[in-house]
Amino acid sequence: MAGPERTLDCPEVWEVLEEYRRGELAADATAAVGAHLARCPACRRLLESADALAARLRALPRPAAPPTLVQAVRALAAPAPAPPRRRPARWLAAAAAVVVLAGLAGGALVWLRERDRPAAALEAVLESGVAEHRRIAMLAEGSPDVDDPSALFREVERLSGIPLPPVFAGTGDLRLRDARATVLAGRKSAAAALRYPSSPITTYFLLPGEDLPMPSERRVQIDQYRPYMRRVSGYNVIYWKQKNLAYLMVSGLDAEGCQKLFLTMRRAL
Amino acid sequence: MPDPAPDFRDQALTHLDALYGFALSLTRRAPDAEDLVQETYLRAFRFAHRFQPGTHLRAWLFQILRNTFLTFYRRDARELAVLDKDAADGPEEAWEAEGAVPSTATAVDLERALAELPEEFRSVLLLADLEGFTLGNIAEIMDTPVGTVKSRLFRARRLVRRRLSDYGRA
Repeated sequence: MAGPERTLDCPEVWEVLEEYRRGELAADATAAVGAHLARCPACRRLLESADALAARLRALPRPAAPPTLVQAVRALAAPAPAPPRRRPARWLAAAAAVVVLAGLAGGALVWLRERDRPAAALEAVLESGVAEHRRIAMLAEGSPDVDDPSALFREVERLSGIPLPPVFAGTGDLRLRDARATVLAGRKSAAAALRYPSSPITTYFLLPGEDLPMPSERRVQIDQYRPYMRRVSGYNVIYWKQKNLAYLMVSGLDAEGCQKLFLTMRRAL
Repeated sequence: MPDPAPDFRDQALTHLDALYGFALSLTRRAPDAEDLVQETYLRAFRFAHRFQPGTHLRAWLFQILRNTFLTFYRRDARELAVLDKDAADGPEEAWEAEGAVPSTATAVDLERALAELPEEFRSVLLLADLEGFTLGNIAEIMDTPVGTVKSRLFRARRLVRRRLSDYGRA
C-alpha cells in the first residue's frame, strides 16, 4: 500500500464507522478504516450487523399514500384555482344521457340516484368540514392570534383561489386564530378560525358551491336570514350560500352563541 | 408573493409516498398520518419562498413534517428524557450486545420492535437506513448535532436487536 497509512484503533473506527458505512468519508480515511476492518473481526461484525438490520428495514412493505391524500395534496399544489363548475346542468345532462342509453327502467333508477347526488355532496362537505374544524381547532389552540391577517389571507387566496372577506380578520373581541387553504370533500376551500377570549373556536369555510343544494328542511330564522343549521358530531353547523360560494360555519359554541356569531359575520359580508 | 415555481411543486409531490410512510411511523394511525402529510404540504407551499434552491428539498420536507408532528401531534414528550440519558452510551457499550438480527424475526416482529422505539430513535433509524439521508441531512431534520445522530443510531439498533431477541425467547 502506498504512503504512510495511519493505523486506527477500535474506538477511532467506531467514531467514523457510520460515515464509512454511508460512503461519507474521504478516500484516505476510507482506506484507513478499511485496513482496520480487514484485521479486526469485532469491528467487522459491528458493521455487518448494522448493514443486516438496514437490509431488513428496506425489505419491509412500504404503504403508498392513499388516493384521498394524493388527491388532497394535488389539489393544494394546483397553481390556479379551478373555475366554478356548473354542476347541476352537467349531472342532469349526464343523468338524461344515461336514461336514454340504459333504457327506461334501469335509467330511472340511475336518475333517482343522480338526483340525490347534490344532497350527498352537501353531506360530504359538512362531514369533512367538521373533521377539518376539529383539526384546525386543535392546532389553533396552541397558537397565538394571527398578527398579520391580510398577508395570511393573500396566501390563503393564492393557494385556494378564494378571497376571505376582511371581516374574517376578526372584529372587536373576536380574534383570528388561524386561516388556511384546505380541501373539503375534494373542494378547495379557504378556512378562517376565530374565537372570543376563553370561548370555543369557530371555523368558517368558504368554497365553490354553485352545485351544492340549499335544503328546504332544517332552516332556522336568524333575524332576516334563513340558513341551514344542525348538529354534526357534537358541533353546531350553519350553512348558507352567497353568490357562487358556499359558507360553512362549524362551532364549538352552543346553538345560541353560534347563531349570534352567525349574525355578526353575515351582516358584515 | 410569487407562486412557487411549478417544478418546486412537482418535485415536492414526488416525495408524497415517502412522507406518508414516515408520517405513519410517527403517528401510527393512518388518519393522523394523512392529516400530518397534508399539513406538511400546506406549510411547504406556504413557505416555499424560504426554501433555498440547491439545498435538499426532500430533507426540508421531512424536517417540516417532523417539526409539525412534534408541535401538534406528539402526546408524550417525557419518553425522551429517560432514554436519551441511556443513549449517551457510545458504541463501546453497544459492543457487547451487538449481534446479528435473529434469523427467526419476521417483518411483523421488526415492525413491532420499531413501533416500540421512542420517536427519536425510530426516526433516526428510518431516516438513516430506510430513507438513505446523509448524517448531515438527518442532523438538520432532527435539529441535533451529527454526534447525537450517530449515538442514537447505535442505540436504536441495539434496542431493536434486543427486542427481536426478546420476542424470539417469549
